[in-house]
Amino acid sequence: MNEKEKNNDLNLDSKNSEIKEEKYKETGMGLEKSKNLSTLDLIYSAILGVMGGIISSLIPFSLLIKVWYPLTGGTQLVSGHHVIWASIVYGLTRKKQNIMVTMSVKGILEFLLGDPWGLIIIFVNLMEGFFLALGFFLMEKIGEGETKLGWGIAGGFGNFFQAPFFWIINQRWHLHFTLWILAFMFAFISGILITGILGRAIKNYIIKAGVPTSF
Amino acid sequence: MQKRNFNIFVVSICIAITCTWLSVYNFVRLDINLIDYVQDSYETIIEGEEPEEEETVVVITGKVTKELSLTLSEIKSDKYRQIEDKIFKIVTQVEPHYYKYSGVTLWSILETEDILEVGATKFTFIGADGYESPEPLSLKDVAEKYEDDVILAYEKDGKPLEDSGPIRSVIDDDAIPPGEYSSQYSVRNLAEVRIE
Repeated sequence: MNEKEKNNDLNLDSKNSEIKEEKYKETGMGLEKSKNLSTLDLIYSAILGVMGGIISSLIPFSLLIKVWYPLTGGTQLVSGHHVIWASIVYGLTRKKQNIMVTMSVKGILEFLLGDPWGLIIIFVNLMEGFFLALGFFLMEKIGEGETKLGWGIAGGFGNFFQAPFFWIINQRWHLHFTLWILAFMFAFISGILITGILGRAIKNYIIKAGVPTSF
Repeated sequence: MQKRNFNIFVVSICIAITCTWLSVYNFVRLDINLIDYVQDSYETIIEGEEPEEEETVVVITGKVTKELSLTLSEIKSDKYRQIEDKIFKIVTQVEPHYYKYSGVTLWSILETEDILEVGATKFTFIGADGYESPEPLSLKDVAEKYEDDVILAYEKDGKPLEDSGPIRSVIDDDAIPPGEYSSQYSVRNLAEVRIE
């Protein structure tokens, strides 16, 4: 072996050792117990946020109630479907930031699709997301993070506060106080049944169907 | 049954009873027949809702090329100049009052529709009960010069006019000739604007 070949071999060895020492950053599903949002988390937020935005804007679910229930505020009985997307995302990712991301996507889409409330709708979505995350946080604190009861109360909490917000900015002072109470109760019940319990059931079926979770 | 589930069951029953009771209370209070309401709803869904023709609320008459009948939605339309939440000084014989009104300017209606006959110089507001504003006011010196101060109002403090509506004429005191009170030109339940 001549001197030139020896030098080449030495160079190759030093390159190989550099490659072995280089550290790769784990991303995506490899990350465990990370507080940062992974790509998969963001994909879930995008898909469910867009679905929620389109469905909330274009499908008038409130007509289901208006047909058989005449009192103002009855439509709150189906209002939970606006927040169900965030509870499904939370079930798949277990990250509360994801709730806010999903509701932001949903709110922006509703705004772009011409929601009559304009920019306020983005704020309302963020408010719903915040209270849903707060609800989950409180339920986890008391050990009800996985139960139907915990999900129901968290969902009710998430869906409740938009009702007084809308009734106050609509200045419905002329309506009897019992109608106010009814509307707020309906908002909470809808949150329990649709956002919480139905959201949890859908989340379970999605996981059972093989969709990967990111926690 | 576990105690926890029993508690959830009891709370659910309490909530259901409260909602039912409050609903029934409101059906009775508001005199709503639920069966009739549901029947009407289904008939509307199956047969479709007949569009209702909107009622005329104000007519412009007198020295005009054609009488102009205006509905509330026409009055609120963007083709006329809309004034939103402007504070008007309304002076009575006792003291001045300040109210926030929204409405359409009279001059923008007359100008947009181009209905004034040659020689039309004055206008008078007439209420649904026959009340007429005391003196005919000048179209040029009042309606045109103080365009934003002479309106056909449909909202007060951001809310539709109730007893005095659906339309009320409102003139700010600045636009009124000296010696007159603007309250006398603020005609409730306005039905007609007569051009002379």
